[in-house]
Amino acid sequence: MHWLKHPVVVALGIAVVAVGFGKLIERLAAETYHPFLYAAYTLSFIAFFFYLRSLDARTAEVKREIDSLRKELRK
Amino acid sequence: MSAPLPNNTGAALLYSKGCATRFRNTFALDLAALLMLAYSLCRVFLTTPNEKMQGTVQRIFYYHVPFAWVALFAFFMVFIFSILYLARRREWMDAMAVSNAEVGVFFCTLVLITGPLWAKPVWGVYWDWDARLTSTFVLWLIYLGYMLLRAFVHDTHRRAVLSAAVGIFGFLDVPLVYFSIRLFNTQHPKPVIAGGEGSGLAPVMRNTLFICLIAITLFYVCLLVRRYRLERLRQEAETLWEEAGA
Amino acid sequence: MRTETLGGPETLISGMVWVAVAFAGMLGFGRCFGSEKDDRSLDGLLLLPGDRSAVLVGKTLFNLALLFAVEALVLPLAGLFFHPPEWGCAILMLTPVLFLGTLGYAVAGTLFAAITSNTRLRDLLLPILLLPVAVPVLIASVEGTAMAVQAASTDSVLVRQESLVSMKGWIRVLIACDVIYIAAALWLFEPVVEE
Repeated sequence: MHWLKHPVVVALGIAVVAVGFGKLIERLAAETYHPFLYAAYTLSFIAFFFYLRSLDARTAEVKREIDSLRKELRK
Repeated sequence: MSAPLPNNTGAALLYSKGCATRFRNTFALDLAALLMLAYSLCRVFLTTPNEKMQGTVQRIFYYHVPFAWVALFAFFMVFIFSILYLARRREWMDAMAVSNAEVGVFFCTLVLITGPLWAKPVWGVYWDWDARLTSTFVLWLIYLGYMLLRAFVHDTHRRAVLSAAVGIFGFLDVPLVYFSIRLFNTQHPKPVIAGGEGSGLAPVMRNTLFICLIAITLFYVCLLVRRYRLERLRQEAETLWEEAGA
Repeated sequence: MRTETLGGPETLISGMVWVAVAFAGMLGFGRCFGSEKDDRSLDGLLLLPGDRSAVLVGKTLFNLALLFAVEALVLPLAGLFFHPPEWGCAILMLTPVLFLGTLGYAVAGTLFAAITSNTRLRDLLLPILLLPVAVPVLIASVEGTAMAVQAASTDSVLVRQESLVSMKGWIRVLIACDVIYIAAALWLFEPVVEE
């Protein structure tokens, strides 16, 4: 499943979710649709996603670093 | 490993002695935050009526206000853990301070993004140098400086002490920033909760706001747990580097 | 609370004076710890018997003297270039604002110079950290100065009274800033310079 993490795939996924989210708002509640409202919530959730992703990526990196350091120390 | 349940609560997080192995199992917390976010979105878009004066754009407010509250709360936590660090000098206190600073800057950025998106249709301009806007921006700059300072100090102990000083001074500065700018200029709507006479929200809107507040606060705790765990791992890596160097 | 008459030459003058002070401060504050960090004379200074906050007080007084010197130079120049009416009287009236504003800025600047002197790139970090923090002092100083100049130069009794009331409000903000900054700096200086 490594291809899932490719930036192009991620960007496409976000675009699909964003458009889908907007369409959903448009369909479900036509009277609540406003481009700026849509932009505010979509941007917030994109930010949530990217921040979570960066936290997980940074954690994985530090874990790798610790593992290699431990191996080094054991030698 | 201790029992998983207390590890998933915010209270356990704040009072724990703190080590990297805690908060490993945060699935219940994540799930709760996710469900609350989904429910809050349904409330915001489907069940809460339009506001009479501003129309549908007013719905931005349901996330904008919790972002601001959570950001301010996170900066307050930076202040508390900075004081604790200077008094007790435990590494986990520094980890809590920096985690709160980063998560706070994240939410403060969202406040600064969603705010202009609301202001453009309602005020006609994206940005105005008004009291609340300017002080939020100044706050954002102060804590960005806090993060920047940490990047330029190598020694772990020095970094913790210096950033604690900035965290304390910066938060003491917040009321001064706010009152000086408010005396200068104001246009932002007054607080709608406990904002004095003539302010107030319809009950359904107030309930939606509180549900959003709970959802965003839960999400803040999720982010904080992750960031804190990362910082503890970093501290572990730093001690390992020292051992390897010695 | 905002007085509508702002925007005239008094705003220009006070803005100019405080831009000069702010920049002089940013350049000067960094020097007061920078050279000592380089040749490690700060360590010797801190080994001296007595309270360490004396070092902070000394440094702050030096920075204060530096900023007062800049003001002593800039204020007559402003009078020369802008020809505001009753300039001598205006200088007298803005003395409290000038003193309180400079004091708060110097205290915050000295503490942040001590903080950033421990870092690489300290000359860059000092203004980045100091400017947002010094926003309340700078706003109150610029506005208070403008009000003092306006009170001195206006012919209308009403405008003069209004400006004076407004100036007193800004002086109160400055006093609050100074008290909080001095207390925080005295408390935080010790851990910041410890080894």
